[in-house]
Parts: sequence; C-alpha cells; structure tokens
Amino acid sequence: MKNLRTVSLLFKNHIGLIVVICVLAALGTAYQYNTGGETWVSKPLSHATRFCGLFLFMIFIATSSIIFWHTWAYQFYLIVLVLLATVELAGFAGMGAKRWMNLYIFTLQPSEVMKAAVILALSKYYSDIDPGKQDFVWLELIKRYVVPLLIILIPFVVVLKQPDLGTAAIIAGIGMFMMVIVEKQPKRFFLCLLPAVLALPFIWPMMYGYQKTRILTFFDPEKYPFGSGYHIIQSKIALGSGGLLGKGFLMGTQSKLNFLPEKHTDFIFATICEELGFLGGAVIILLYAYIVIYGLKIAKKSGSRFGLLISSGISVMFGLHAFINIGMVMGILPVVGIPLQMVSYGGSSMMTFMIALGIMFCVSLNKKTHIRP
Amino acid sequence: MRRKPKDTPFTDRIRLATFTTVLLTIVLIGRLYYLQIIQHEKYALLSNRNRIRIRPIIPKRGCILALNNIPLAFTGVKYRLIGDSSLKKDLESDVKSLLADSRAAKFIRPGLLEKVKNSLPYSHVVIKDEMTWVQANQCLPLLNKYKALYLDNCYYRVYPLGASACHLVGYTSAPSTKHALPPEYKCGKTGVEERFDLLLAGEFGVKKTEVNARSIPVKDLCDYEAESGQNLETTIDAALQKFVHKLLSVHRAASCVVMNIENGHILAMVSTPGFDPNRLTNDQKYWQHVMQTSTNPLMNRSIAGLYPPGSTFKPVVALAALKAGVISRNTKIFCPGYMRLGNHVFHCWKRSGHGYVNVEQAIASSCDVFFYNLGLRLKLSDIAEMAASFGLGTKTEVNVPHEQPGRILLGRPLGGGHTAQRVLAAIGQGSVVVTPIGLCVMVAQIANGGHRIFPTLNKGETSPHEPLGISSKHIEIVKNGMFWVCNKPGSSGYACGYSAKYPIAGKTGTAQVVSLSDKRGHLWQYKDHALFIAYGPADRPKYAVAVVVDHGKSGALSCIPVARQVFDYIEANEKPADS
Repeated sequence: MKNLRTVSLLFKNHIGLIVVICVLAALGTAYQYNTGGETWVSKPLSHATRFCGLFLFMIFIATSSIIFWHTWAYQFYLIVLVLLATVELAGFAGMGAKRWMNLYIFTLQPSEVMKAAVILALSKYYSDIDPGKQDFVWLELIKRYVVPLLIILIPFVVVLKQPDLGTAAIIAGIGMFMMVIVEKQPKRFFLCLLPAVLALPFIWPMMYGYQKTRILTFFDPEKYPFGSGYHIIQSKIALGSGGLLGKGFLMGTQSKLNFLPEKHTDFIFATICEELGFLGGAVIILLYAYIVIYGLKIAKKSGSRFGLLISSGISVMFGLHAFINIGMVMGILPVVGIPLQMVSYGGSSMMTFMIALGIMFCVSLNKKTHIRP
Repeated sequence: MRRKPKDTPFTDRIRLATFTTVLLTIVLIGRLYYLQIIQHEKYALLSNRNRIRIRPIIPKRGCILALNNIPLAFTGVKYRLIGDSSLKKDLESDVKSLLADSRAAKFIRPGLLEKVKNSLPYSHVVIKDEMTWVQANQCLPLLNKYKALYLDNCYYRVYPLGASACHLVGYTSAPSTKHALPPEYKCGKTGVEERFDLLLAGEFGVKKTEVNARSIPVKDLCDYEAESGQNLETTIDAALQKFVHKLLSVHRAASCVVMNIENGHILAMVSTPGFDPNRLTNDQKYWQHVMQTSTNPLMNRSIAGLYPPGSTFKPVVALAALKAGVISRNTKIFCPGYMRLGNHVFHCWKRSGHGYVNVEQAIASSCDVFFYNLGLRLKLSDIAEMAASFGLGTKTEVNVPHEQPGRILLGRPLGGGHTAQRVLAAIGQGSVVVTPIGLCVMVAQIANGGHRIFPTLNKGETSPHEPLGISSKHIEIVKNGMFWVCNKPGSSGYACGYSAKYPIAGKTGTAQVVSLSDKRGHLWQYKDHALFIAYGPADRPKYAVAVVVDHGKSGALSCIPVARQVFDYIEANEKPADS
C-alpha cells in the first residue's frame, strides 16, 4: 500500500519530467525505425521494449529507500569496478574496443554503469565526512582530496585504457563537479581543477594514437576529409543541409545514403536535425536542458547532504552526456564515442540513464528522510 | 552571517550549475542556428554534391551527306562489353575466368587484367569495343555466367567512301583538349568533320543518379536525353568523287578540285595518297604506317599543297599586261625560241620558236618568250595586283580546315622587281605558289567573266557574284586563248578538247622544282609538277577543274586525261537532270 502511494506521488509530482523522458524514448524509437531500414522489428522494437522494462525498473528504484543506496553505495561501486576489470580481461570487443560483457540475457557495458557508481560512492563518501570537524592538516588533505581522487581515478584509468575516451571524460567531469560542489572555500575551486591539469601530460602519452588524432582532427577536420575528419564533415553537412524545417521524416539523404556514419548511435542527433531541421534540434536541446535543471532543482530541495550530492551529480552526468554528444556532432568538441542517452541505440546507456533517474526520483520522494552516517 | 540558515553554500553552487546549464544550452542552440540557418546553403550544396552523380550521355553524331543523300559519313550502332568496376572482386574473377575460357578468346586484349586491376572503383572498363550484332550475340552466353559484365550500345563512325573522300570528310577521334569528357566521346578531326563539328556533334544529355556513400547508384533522378547532331548536306557528288579518286590513284601524289562555277559548289575534292578513315583511329599499326609514309597521306593537297603555278599563271600575267596597257589585243612579239638577258639565255619550251605571236596565240601555244617580254615591260606589282584580285595570295575560305593561303611574294620586297625575277614571274615560276583550289577558283573567275567566287561545300550556301573589276574585254581575249589551248590541233591541251561533247577551255602548266641543269632531276621528288586548269563548256562556263599531279611528267600526259574524263563524266550524268 505504501508503495502504491509512493508511485502515485511520483507521477503527481514529476509528471513533467516523465513526459519528457517518454518523448525522448519515443523519438529514439522513431529514429531507430528510420535508420534501421524502416522496419519495426529488431532495433525500434528492442529500443521500445527496453524502455518499457527499464521504466518499470526505474519506478521500482524510485520507490526504494534512499537508505538502501546509502548503505550499499561502496559495494555497488566495488562490484561495478570488478565487472569493469573483468571486461578488460575477458570481455569481448565491439567496434574495436573492449567494452561489453556478455551476461547471457543481455550484454552489459560496465563503463556506462560506472558513472552512476562513481556518483554514489562519492556522494556517500562526502556525506560521511563531518564538515564541521577539523583534523590534523595532512589527514584533512588526504581525507578531502586524495581519497575522492582515487575513487575517480581508478575507474577513469581503466575506462581510458578500454579505450573509451568519452566515458572517461564524463567520469572525470562528474568527479570534478562533485569535488567542486563540496568544497567549502571557493578559492580552492581551482585547486580541484589542478589535478586535471596536472594529469594531462600523463594522460596524453597514455592515449592511443587514434584518440590523439581525433583530438587533433577536432581543431582542423578538413585536413582529414576521408580519415578521422570524415565523421565530423559529414555530420556538419547533415545538420547544415537540414535548414530550418529539415528535409522531412525519412527524407534525409545524408543518413539514408549512408554518408553519415554511426547514424543510429553516436550521430543520431545529426540524423534527426537533417530531417527535422533547426526547430527539431532546438527542441531536443531544450528537453535535455529541462532534465538537467529539473535534477538540479530536486538536488536543491533535498533534505540530506547525500541526496543533494547524488541528485546534482546525476544531473551533471545527464548534462555532460548531452552536451558532449551534441557538441561533438556539431563540431565544437572532439569526436568521442558518447551516445545521446535515450535516443541512441544501446541498452547500457539507457539502463544507466533510467537507474540514475530512478535514484533521482528516490531522492525527491525521500527528501525528508534523515540519513545518519 | 547574512545568509539564511538554509541557504548553504551548496544551494549557491547548485544555482551556479543551473546557470552554467542555461549558458551551455544557449551555446548549443547558437551553434545549431549557425550551422542550420546561416550556413544552410553551403551545406545544402555539399549534401547534393555528395549524393548526385552527373554523367554525360553522348549524342549521336549527324551524317555528312553528298548530293542525293548519299552518305559520306554516318554513325552506326555497335555493341561493347563492359565490366562494372563497382563489383571489383567479381570483375577480377570474371576476367580471370574469361582468360581461361576458349569461347572468349576473341574478346580479350592483352593487358586487360592489369587494366581492370588499375581501374578506378565504381567506374566502367571496356572489355571489348565495337562489336557487331553477331559478335554481341556470341557474347550473350558469357553474360549469364559472369555477373560483372554487361553489354552496352556504342556509336562508331562509318565512312562509305573510305580513302576517296578522306581528306575532304576528315575523321573523328578523341578530343585533344583536357575537358572532362567521357573517354568514348569523339570529335571531328580535319575535313568537314572538324569544320562542322558543332553542327554534327549534337548536344550532350545528362544522366543524374543518386548514389550512396559507396557510390553505388540508388535511383535515377532525371535524364535529359542527348540531342542528336544535325545532318550536313554537302555539295559533293559522291560518284564523281570516287571516280576522280580512281583516276588520280594511278599517280603517287595528286589532287583535283571540281567546282560548279555558277554557285561555287565543290563537286569533288580529291587528294592522293589518302588513308582509310575507318581504320585510322582504331588501328595502331595502320596509324603508324600512315604516319611513316613519305608522301604524307594525311595532308590534303587540294587545299594545303603549295605549287608554283607554272604556265597556268600566264592568263593572269596576260590580264595584268592588258590592264597596264603594255600590250593590246594585236600586239605581236617575235619568238625566236629564246630570249637573251645579259649573260643569261631564257629558252622558250619550243626551241625552234613560235615566230610572231599575239597574246591569244601566246596563251594558246604557251609561248614563254612572249611572256618573258611581258615580264620586262611590267612591274612586279602589276602582276601581283592582278594575282591578288583573283585571290591567289589568300585563302579561298572553302569550308575545309587547314587550308594554306597561296603566296605572292612578287613586288613586295623590290617594288619594281629585279629583271630576272620579273621574267620568271611572268611564266609562273619563282616567287609565287598556289594551291589547287586557288587555281580552280582562279580559272572559274576567268570563266565567269571576272566575278568573285567563294567556293563552298555547304549545300545551303551560294557564292555571291561580285565583279572583280577586270575589263570583260580583256577577259574575253584570255578566254579565247584558253579555248585554243584545248581546241587547236597540236596545242598543249588539245587532248582535252578533242572531240569532247562540249567545248572546253583550259591551260596546262609545268612547274619546275629544280633547274634543268640539276643532276637530281631524274629522282621522283625533283621532277616537275604537272598542272592543268580547265572550264567547260567554253561558251557558257559551268564547271571548273584544277588538276595537279605532284612530279607528274607534263600537264598533257598526266593531268589532261583526268580533266577530260571528269568533263565527260559530268556531261554524261547531267543529261537526265536537264531533261
């Protein structure tokens, strides 16, 4: 009975966000139909089925107790980290990268789930430290910076070596944001950015050749029209030829004639904008902005430090995802393999999104719950 | 603390994050606006360039027709076997098994496999070109077996007259300019094919195809059919052309122009040696052979061969003298058989001399001494002026390309001219060279009483009749002389006029290549050129003929039979048209 009430409360309070999510999923299904050979079987069907299943799972998570997440945060983090390491050792490769692991029912991409795990672990860690208590200065430094940095860096390095530059960047982004948000002294904001800057010279030689090329290509895509610049040139042509109202649904030549690579996954935004034009594209950007701002609002209203951290972290994750993907498609960011969540084809990405959304709702529904460290 | 207790630093920072989100949203929408609205046209163009392939469709070339719609050149359809490179793997294996297939042995050229391997992806490789219907049918069983091969139409050019009209009609081959034209496109080279190329070629069609990222055609967008070239009706009499060619081909090198005096229409224009235009461009060995022949078969002698006119120039000199008033109709000059000038003796061709001759007799008997004397009395510029008014120093502007202008260097360097130069010029030697067509136009202009004629091959054109400003009385005198050339027993052209169906007038000529004392004179290439110009009927001139036989013996022996048979032929074939 209690659960049912919670569900109705969820729909009553958050109907706007739920509608937005459903719209994005429907758009995704429509474009899986569009790019998948105009047939409902296979991709559009599995996209829709996945969404329905994960939607129920999301409600289940939303009705769970936030104390559960607080209690199990580290374990969750560790399990995903182990999975990530297993993939590195035993996972199978797809598209040239070792990211997937076969769970027999579906294939899982642990690096996707890792993002949510990092948010959970960091939130629990920061909410457990007593902000009022001052320790010996060295101990304080280790507590405040070294341990969180390790929580971020371990998955970051593993994911970067997979290689998955985009996800690694998102993990780093989330981590930095969370370090900034808990920082008491605004002066030290920049101190939080310092590790990132210091790490750069070490990360660069760690990166694979093609990853470096991608970043170099970003600055001058026309230099490699058939190599690494091809993606971005074709993507810009798709966008630009769309115009204000687009070429019409199913009428996009760039995607239909396969000039646009990855048209149903990472570059789906270009496919959509070619057919639906500037108006369609702008609406999608606004929908994602709405989700992020909505999440930040939930964070602000949250009663507990844990809830606030977790909810804002998830919002930032959504935002980073959308910004990096759309920015990459438009040629203002380097090409890194980041899907557009909910619209791009891919189960793990949608699963992360829905789990994170569920936790966010859970925070909102448990905003009065007091969490004891 | 001014802050409310609830307003923790967190709330501040959440607000900051919200602000950042709004900012980034604006950045993204701004970028989207820039790409989709401001740069829309640029990218729309790029998008179309991505997907649309434009391929030209070759138009069918128009026919070149002789009188009575007899084709001199027409376009036939043949078949060719094409390999589709978009299925390169298939094509390579197909070609390999073709090489092993005994039935296909005749379709294979050496180096085919390399050609296929080096072909651009998604292009087409011609396996076998210009197959007949029968050959194409032999191919059909192969097609079922090989996926990447298909049959296609192709055009080829046929010249029914072959070598008879090769210089006149010209030939077609791949254009030399580096325009983006399909390799199988051919344009006119020399002759009427070149001159009327624009008319004959027609308009390219366009095939627009939508292709995907792998350049594989997805659908046909639209076709603009090629517009076939127009037919060109020429004034050539195909049978006469063939007939003249047959007559000339006994000589190593010769040329002949037959023209209708009334309208300037060229009836036949033959130059030998020639080449077979049907073989020239697709037979490498034959091409080599033609190029290496010393008599230069590619040259159209009738418009580009330059010869000293010899005695055929005498009518012009006579007209110049009459015009200048240095002689009158009855002025008689004694010919002892030679003329002494300083230390040099200029001989008449007749060593015994002609005695007293007037201008008509001098032309009729081709008396050299008479004209030597005219040379002494005239200034070089007088002769040059008269020659120029007959158009001998310029192109006749007949519609066949690569014509050479005749050259009259008379008078220009020395004004009055050196005495010996004047004497030689008066018998058409030395500083004057003309083309056979120039001679033909000259004789036609004498025949029609001194009216300008523009020769033409285009049936639609007619030459205007403008007076040249030469006294018709003087022309009559010269025409009389030319009449006697062919009709007085014993004169040089009597063989032409003798018992002809209608009276013919003409003038023979022998152009010296080296001086009589030169020891090389017995070699073919140093023998004299033989020339003959004629018109007929003498009383109402209708046809003009110029014949030049390179290094022929003498005009009477090599040229006159040709001219005579041409007149006989015309006469025999004219009657049905007249009645």
